Amino acid sequence: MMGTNCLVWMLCAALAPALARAEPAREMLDQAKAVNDAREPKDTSQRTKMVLIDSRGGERVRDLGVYGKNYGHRTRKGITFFLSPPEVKGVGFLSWSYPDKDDDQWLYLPELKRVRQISGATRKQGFQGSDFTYADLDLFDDIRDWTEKDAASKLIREGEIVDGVPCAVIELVPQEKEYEYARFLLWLDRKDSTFRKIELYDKKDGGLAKTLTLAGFEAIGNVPTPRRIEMTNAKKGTKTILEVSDVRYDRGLGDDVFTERTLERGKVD
Amino acid sequence: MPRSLSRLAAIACAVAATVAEAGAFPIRVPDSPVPVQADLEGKLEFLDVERIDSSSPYQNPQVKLRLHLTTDFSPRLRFVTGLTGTAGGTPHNANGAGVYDFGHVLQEISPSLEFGEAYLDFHSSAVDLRAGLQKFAWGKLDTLQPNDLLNPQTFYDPLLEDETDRKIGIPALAPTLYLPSVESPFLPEEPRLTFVWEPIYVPYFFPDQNERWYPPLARAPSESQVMGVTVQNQSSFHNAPVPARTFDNGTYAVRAAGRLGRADLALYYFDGFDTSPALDASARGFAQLNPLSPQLVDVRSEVEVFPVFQRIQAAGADLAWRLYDATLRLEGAYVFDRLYTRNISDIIATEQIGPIDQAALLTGRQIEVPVTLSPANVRRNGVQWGAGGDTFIGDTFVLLQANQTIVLNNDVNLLISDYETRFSMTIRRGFLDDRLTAELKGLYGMQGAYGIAHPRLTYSVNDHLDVRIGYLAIEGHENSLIGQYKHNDEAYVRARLLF
Repeated sequence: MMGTNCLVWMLCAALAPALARAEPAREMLDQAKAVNDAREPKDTSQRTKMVLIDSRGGERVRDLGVYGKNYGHRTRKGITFFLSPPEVKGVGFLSWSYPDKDDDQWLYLPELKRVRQISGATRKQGFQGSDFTYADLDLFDDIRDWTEKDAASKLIREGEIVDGVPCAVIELVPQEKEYEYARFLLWLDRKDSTFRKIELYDKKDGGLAKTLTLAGFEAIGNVPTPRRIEMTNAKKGTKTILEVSDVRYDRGLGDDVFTERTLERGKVD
Repeated sequence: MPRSLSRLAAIACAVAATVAEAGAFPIRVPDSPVPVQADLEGKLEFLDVERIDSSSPYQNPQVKLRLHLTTDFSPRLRFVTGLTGTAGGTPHNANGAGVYDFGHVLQEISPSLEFGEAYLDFHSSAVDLRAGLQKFAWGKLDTLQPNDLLNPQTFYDPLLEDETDRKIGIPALAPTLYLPSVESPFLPEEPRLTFVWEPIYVPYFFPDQNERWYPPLARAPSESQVMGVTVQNQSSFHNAPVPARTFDNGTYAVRAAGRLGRADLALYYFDGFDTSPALDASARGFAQLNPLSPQLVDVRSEVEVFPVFQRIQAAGADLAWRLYDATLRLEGAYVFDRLYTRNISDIIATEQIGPIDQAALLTGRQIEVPVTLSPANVRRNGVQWGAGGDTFIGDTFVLLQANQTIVLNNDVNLLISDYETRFSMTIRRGFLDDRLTAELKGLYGMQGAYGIAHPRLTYSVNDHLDVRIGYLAIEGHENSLIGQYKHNDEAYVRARLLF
């Protein structure tokens, strides 16, 4: 009896630090989620300049019009148009994301004049040559909505400075097998509940796969909005930079914007 | 390169360089509260084809300038124009410069100008309306879509030219109604209904018989045996009057589309002239006593091949849905009264010559004799359908598809089998950070035992310039649909400047 009680106390003593750290991490994330949910716009539109930097330092630039609408309960729709260069101009991408099933995605290719449904395997491919996969584009919204059941959280350390801002570093290990990443490290700015940096670790070898950094935050309305987003692919040595401009929130985008019709038309009125 | 071609190429490059910076620019229209936004883009292409078999017809190097202008008068009204200028390529021996018209199948003009698109596009919440010269892309399969019947095509370079570029714009009125979604598991979401009315028939463009992609089986053999007599044949390809420009000869088509569950689906109906080419032939015969051996008669025929136009009706459907990591597509159409080409050797075998006026023949003069050719085509109902899917295996895109044409109630030997089945595939992968794309396209005809292999490499020098090299290999029985082109193996290089 004494031996069993001793063992229980020893186990509790060993687990106490872990339990003490897990709780603050989940609390931090839940607080950040509550703040972000309160100020999350119903819809967004923005102009994005996407700079693709290859492993030899060569650059290619794409100009995009990006629109999104949030329906709550982790249901979102987004539509993106390539505005330049001529090689990709007119290409459109439509995505409907759901909490309980795979996303529906369509691609419009102007040289075919057809809308094509994209296969699930396409989601693992780079989005138009960038370091973001089609799955990555939804992942960052998903991360904000994750509960402890979706991803186990752990506070790694606090007070690390990123872009001049002290951040809490939190590890998230997704419990769903569908993700290409084994774990994530998030740098959370406690003051304005924004993520400043995310490291994505490869599921296959556990090594660092990609690093996402968000900088140049500006308050548009009451929404802190990063003006510059960088995704670095550690394995390929490539980088994608997104420079965001003309951001507008809550302009009243209708459901009819996020349809194949708009995709074929190539623009949002 | 011929001097005229290089001169035109220089002009085209100068034009391209001038408009390269055009992009989108606003135009202020007097008394208009909103500036008109015009967006000009284009492609300048250079194509050189090298034949592997020097006995196959030659194809000139070609320069093509495609311009596309989109003018937004307001958020609801847009005008779209597409223009293509071509120098070189087909035809090999042109009659001079010209603008393609809608009245002829055979148009031997070079340099040439073609109006591909010129339509007004009106957009409102419930209705879109397009009026003018336009191209449609119906159907969901890759390359061969049974329901994509509206636009005729140019057949000058059918395996290298892109699908949309091959299409000829048709004058049409096309309203699309966007119906309200009804919450029901049995009714589609986002239902939309498109009507198309093409008031006049527009024919396909076909090469002359001396051009590279003119079907060898549509050329009469130089010599044939008719009723025990050796006949020397000469053939030529001619235009035929297109269907009269009356409303009776217009085309009507409907597409009803929507989403059911996670599948995109559509239903189609088409009533109009078949945009697939069909040819027939007539012949004039001539007989003369052989001057060296008067007991022998020299017989020759002049065969004229010409296009024929057949009205068809087609009812079809298509479906696309995601299944695990793949996208699957299914499409089919029941086609009424389509023309199917008979087996060529059967046509020749049933050729008849005579009767010959013996008295006239004995005068030693050349006399004309009647030649009877049985019809080259038969009208049949049939089903065209296909199934395919695509996915990524690692970083490699893979598409596989099967198409079948079923000719119903047929008792005649045709150029194709009554169950003509074709398998096609595309494999594509990017290298060098997606600057280099390697692609292999293949086609295999099961009954005809023919095949096409088309490997190609495309390198993006920068965002405006890409270069492609490729090889086309064709094999099969010479009396089959594709195998007849077995001597047309070729290597090619294409450079493309985008602006």
